[in-house]
Amino acid sequence: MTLISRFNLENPTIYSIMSPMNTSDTNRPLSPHLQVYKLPYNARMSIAGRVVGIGLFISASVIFAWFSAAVWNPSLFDATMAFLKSDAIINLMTIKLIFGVFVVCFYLGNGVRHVLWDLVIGVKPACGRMTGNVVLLVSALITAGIAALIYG
Amino acid sequence: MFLNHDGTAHKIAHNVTSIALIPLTAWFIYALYTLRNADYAALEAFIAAPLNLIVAILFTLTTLKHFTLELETVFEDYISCPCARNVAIITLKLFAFVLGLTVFISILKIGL
Repeated sequence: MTLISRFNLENPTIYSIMSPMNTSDTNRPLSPHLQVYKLPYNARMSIAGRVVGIGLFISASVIFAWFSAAVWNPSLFDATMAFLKSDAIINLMTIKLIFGVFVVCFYLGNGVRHVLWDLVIGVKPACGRMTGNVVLLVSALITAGIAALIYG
Repeated sequence: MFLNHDGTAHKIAHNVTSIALIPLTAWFIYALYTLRNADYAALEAFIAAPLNLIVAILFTLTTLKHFTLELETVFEDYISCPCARNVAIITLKLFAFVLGLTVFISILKIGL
């Protein structure tokens, strides 16, 4: 009896909480407004992963298309490499390699987290924050290793 | 929306390609590092090695498959108009197919 009365839709207080169709209270907060709502760490990591994924798709498309064009026209390969290696402002090749390694490692680590979440491993918010920091740290370490290889 | 109910297969393919891409991406970073000062002849010699040839093909095609699945999810999430969403997904798949075919033939041309 108590259970039924708790979910009684005739009760206006309960109704306003339970029904998504009730629009009488126009001052209630809607879905998270990004201007006034600071997204939690895990949400920011999730968005970063998706943005990086789209960026990597575009990068991979450009690299594959460039590679194909260079195979049919080898002078394009040497010209591109000469441009990337020219030290006019900064060594683009090295910068791109180091930045690319970091981004790729971040995306890979994020993907590993997603696969583990699908196996219901580490799904708690605190665990997500911890593994997110691990991903960032490992990415930074691998990137530092590559940088050390290049400059060392 | 594509009403062919392939969500589970999509999800499994996404995860399988993502796991496959861990070693393949490690190889790609190795290739980028090795070839960072290469000229075209060095690239040719690198890809002509049998292991590099096969792994290069695996890497490019798996990458395109993975990102096609990824972008398809993004389109399904954020394009609400069914017509625009279908156009975007079909365009994406055609683009990935053409690019995959092109890069596959290019790798064979340089490596064989």
